[in-house]
Amino acid sequence: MNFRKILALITIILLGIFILQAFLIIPEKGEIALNNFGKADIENRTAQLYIDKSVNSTNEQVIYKESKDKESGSANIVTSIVANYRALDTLGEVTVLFLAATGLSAILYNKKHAKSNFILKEDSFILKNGIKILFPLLILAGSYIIIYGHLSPGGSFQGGAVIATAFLLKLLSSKEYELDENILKIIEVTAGVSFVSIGLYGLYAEGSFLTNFLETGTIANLFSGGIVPIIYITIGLKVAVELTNIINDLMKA
Amino acid sequence: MVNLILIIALPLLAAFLIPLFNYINKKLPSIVVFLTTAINLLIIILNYNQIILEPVIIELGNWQAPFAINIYVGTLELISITVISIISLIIAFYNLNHSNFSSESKFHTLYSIIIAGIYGIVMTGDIFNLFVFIEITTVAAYGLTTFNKDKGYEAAIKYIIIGSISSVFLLMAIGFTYSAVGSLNMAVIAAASNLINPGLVRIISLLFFVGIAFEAGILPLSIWVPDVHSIAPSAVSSTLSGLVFLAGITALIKIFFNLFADPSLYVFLMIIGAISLIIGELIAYQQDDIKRMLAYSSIAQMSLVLTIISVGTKYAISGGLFQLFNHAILKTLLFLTAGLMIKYAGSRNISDFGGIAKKIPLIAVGFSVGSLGILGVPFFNGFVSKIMIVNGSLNAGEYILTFLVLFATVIEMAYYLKVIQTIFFGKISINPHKIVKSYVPIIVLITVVFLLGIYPELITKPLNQATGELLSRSDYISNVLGGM
Amino acid sequence: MSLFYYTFIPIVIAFIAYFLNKKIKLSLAILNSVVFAYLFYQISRLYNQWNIPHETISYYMFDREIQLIFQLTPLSWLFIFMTTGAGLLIAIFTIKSQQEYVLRSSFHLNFAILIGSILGVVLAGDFLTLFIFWEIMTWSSFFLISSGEKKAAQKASYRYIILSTIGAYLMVTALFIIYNQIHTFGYNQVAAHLSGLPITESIILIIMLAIPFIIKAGVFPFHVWVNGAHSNAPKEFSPFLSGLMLKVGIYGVILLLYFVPLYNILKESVNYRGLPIFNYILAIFGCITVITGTILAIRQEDVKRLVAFSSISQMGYIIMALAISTPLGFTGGLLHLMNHMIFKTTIFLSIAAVIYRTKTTKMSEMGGLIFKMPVTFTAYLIAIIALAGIPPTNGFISKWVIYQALIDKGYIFLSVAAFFGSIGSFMYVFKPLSTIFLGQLKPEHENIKEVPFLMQLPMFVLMALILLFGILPGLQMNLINQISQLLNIQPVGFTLYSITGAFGKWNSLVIFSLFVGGFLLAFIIFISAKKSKQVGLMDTYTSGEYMDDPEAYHYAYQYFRPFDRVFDSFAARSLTVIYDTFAQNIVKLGNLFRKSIVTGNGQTYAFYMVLFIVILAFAGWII
Repeated sequence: MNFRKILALITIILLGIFILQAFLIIPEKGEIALNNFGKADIENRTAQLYIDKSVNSTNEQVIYKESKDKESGSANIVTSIVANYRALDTLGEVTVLFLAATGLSAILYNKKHAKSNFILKEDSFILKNGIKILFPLLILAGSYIIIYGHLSPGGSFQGGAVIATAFLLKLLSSKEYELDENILKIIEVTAGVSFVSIGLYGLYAEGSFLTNFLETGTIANLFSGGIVPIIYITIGLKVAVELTNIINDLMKA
Repeated sequence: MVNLILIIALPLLAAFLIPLFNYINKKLPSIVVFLTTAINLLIIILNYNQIILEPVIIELGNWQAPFAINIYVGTLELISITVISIISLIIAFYNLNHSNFSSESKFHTLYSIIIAGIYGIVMTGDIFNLFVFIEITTVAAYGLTTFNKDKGYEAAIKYIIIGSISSVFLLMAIGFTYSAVGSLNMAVIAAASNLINPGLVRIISLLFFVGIAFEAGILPLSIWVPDVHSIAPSAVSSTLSGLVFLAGITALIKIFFNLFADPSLYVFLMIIGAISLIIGELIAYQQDDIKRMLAYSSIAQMSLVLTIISVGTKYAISGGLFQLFNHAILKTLLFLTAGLMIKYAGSRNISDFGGIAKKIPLIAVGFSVGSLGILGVPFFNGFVSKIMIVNGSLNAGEYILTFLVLFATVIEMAYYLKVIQTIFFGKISINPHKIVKSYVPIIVLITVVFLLGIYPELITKPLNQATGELLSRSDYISNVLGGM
Repeated sequence: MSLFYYTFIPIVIAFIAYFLNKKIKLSLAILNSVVFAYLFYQISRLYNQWNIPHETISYYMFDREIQLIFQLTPLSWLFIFMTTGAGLLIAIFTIKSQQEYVLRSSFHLNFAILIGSILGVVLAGDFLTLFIFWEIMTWSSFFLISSGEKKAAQKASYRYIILSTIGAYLMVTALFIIYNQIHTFGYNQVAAHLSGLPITESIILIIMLAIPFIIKAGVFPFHVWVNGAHSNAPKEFSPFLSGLMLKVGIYGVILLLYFVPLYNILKESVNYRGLPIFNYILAIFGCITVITGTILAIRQEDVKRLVAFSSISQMGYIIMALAISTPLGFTGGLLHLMNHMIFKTTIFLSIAAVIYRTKTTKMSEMGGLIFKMPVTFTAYLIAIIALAGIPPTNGFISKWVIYQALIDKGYIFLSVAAFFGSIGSFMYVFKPLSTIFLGQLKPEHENIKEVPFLMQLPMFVLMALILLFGILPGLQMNLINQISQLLNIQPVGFTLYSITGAFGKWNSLVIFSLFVGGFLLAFIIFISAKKSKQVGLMDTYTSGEYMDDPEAYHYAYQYFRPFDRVFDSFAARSLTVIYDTFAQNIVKLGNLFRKSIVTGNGQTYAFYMVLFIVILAFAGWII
């Protein structure tokens, strides 16, 4: 090992030590430090109110399939935070994804029309036919994950990724297969615009951006959760399209 | 009163719609972005009088304060977004004629989003939301860097490496904070910050510093700046140097004045800033590439702002903030004019600009107005801020700091004057290239420079108010949390 | 007219004229002349109206309104009168002289701004106003010097602005240290505050306040910018630079020592022969300035450099006279200040006229212009008579008063230096006279004509002034005594044509009559004597041989070589080298940083981030 490597190693070790210090701090009385895993005082933390769906209202128990018109009607706690309580962050994350796709396509734009580097020798029969069966199933699974995102674990990011996988497989299987970029673009635009528009409609109707303006319904019904499922569908479409776009661009580059 | 969240939402909406507009007409995206920035300025003007009276807090989704994301617009944020909206409007206007890249619509998409991200960084009152907006800004900046093809990729890769490392640190800081306090809201953290173990506060604040300062132009962290600023198209360089740095410093101020107001750390900030200032100026002097020179000058200026603000007294902070806004205006002017000169001369080297002022006088005058503003000539805006900085640092008894700041200004003068002398008095040695001359942005910026130089109270009065707000954390906390 | 407008009008008109100039070529020069003439008329009407009220403009800067004060005193009237007067003459001169000059419009723009800012500096009633206009003055003169046609102009102006800025920053630091204690910039309040401080502290502050003025006045050890700036500035700006800009530095010194009576504070400190040590050191610096300026002036081959060094040495006289702080010294200093402005402007204008025709500044490339340019020659001759201090010109009177003041107090060293400078000045002013105007006419200058009338006019006016003040110094003394009263200095006795010195009276009328008589006598002899024969240039040395180095044979080249040889080692040890070495070391340091830190390698940059945290942690942020 030469000097530079040793220097780098020592520096990294020192950095590790300094950051690990944070976990070793033992707070004096009345002080706060990092919480050990599982020992946080959940009752007094923001998270508890999210779980109880009682940020604005009084604390009531949430009962599966019975509680009605709670603040956030989705049974999946994560979803209620992602698409309702902290929807602006999600809008941001979707934007980052959009940016990544746009930036990538901007970089690859010049090479796009050149001859493809990624050439399959020959279409593999098993791959081709296997994917023919797999493709609709993956689309279905992805859609399910998105649409049931407010009820069960999962959600639009995962669902979108699954749908994008389906297209990846399709692109891998056959060199004739081409995605219609215009359709992709239209879906992309529609999804993004509807997310922002839902937020803006909330601003118009309820006076605040990204507010729930629909009935939240009974918890754990499919048609519940107010705007959460709608937002989730838009996010799902957006994620799916962006990832597909990235794959498409990279395959063609 | 129009809801201020629109200034973030509208650019995003515009960005999402741009692929559609691009089908209709190739010219439409740039016009849409220009209109969006214009509407943003209008929204801010409509809100101005109200916010100056008392801070506006927007709770998104109608959820109560500590639980939902909130947008906090006090006087400091108000001045910042006003400056950002003016500058982004000017750059958007410049882009109408100067964005003939191969994939033009994507450029406008990224530009629109980076503006939304910058507004977000400045206005948000939630640390995770801050992280999201910093990500939006940096990812958009990665993309924008590559639009000048030749060396853009290499610079962008450096930017991405450093950006990802620092975002790891930032995320770690947010995680630690959340683990300790149990909330992401800045006001809640501020209220609890006295209770957190001081050792932990120091670790967290260091991680925050590293995570944000890479976007704020402080030297060991912002070493990517010259590569990126010199390679990127001029509109992008001005955005990055003028606006992103402004947002980064504003975020740092929020962390170190609202969140963890630990005066013992200010000494460190001051020393880091001072070292970065001197090194930045000295390296800037070495450059022959005009955009690299400006980039190093930006680093030095940002370090100056950080140093002065970390003095921590009322006068020093308001001087530093004024310098921050001046820098945003002046660097936009400098990068735009430098970009036009580069295109005209077909070279980025200062020595190739000899006598360019005789051919494109207004652009050369614009550049020299920017330089003289930075150097603090009377009746340019930089004069008042320089005087305020000197006054602030002497008021706090920081004699060595005053000396360093003035010494740095002398070096700065040395390299800016080199350019001015070359473009005005040098021997004509250029073979001109055809350029689209856009005079409106330059004239508007020059007007702003003189307006602030002659009537500094336009900005110093709100700045004093902003400084007062910064120094009274309890007001901030009670404003956000109400009677809690 | 409000005092503020005096500073404002030239600046605004300058911008209007600048845009007009694109359409009509000469509009700028003519408009400037008209504006300066108007200002000159207005200002001359202000004479004796010392009690017009102060004017204030409020400027909101920190958390309070700051008042910018403008006021008129006899002292400031003297300076604004001189400024607009010189400005007017030079503007008239430039109408014709700049026809082939490319940077004409920017010259006039900056020149008008410069005039406005000097008026601002002088009319200022507090230090902040002074500082603001001081900065504008520095910047506009920087652009003027840079617009010189030679390439060295850029380097010279560079040196000028860096030095000036360092001075200005010292001043602003001192001002704000004071401001933070008393919250005002007013002259009187600052002086009162300084006299309350401990003596060392107040002396340090006074030195910081004084340095920018001393730099601008070109006094040792800050004279390094003067020669470069004067010799490389546009030929029309050099007269103003030397005649007035240097004097504005003197104004600052007067302001600090007398008007804001810091002298009273200094009196408490260590004394030498009844003179505060600060003043004595200033006087010594003045004396070194005289000697250095003189020795270096004698060596020069370039006429503008020569006159520039002469300016340095003359500034030394003024500083010396003012620093010794006697009524006679003060009077002598002010007299010499006015007179030097008049004759130095004349010299530079006549040289500008020569350059306008010959397009060169090297003395060895000229000669025998006396018959081609008689008016210019006469102007130069009278001006150098004044500079060398020969009666009946104004230069004699002021030098006479200064000698009296020095000898009266018994400062032997200073007096010897003053006499040395005076003798030296004979040598260096004679060099251009004999090489440019006398001697053999160069073949290429065969067709030269006298300059146009508009360029002669300023020279005529100035010649008349030299003689007028040489005969009737009472005109100047009237104003100087009013200034003395303002500053609580005992006035010096005078009549219209005589001044009472320490060892008797000087009666200029008698001397003038004697000189006129002597001159007539000499003239009669000259007329009646036999005419001399004209000899061609090439007849002189060559004796038919082939010349491969004609310059060495020209007698203008290394004119005072034996004298120079004595001081060779002295001249080699230049202060400029010290300043340059300092600057180069800073640049080297920057280069080191650039090479070692900015590697351009992404991995190294990533490493810096981690290293940064580790260093901070070690430095005590975490631990």
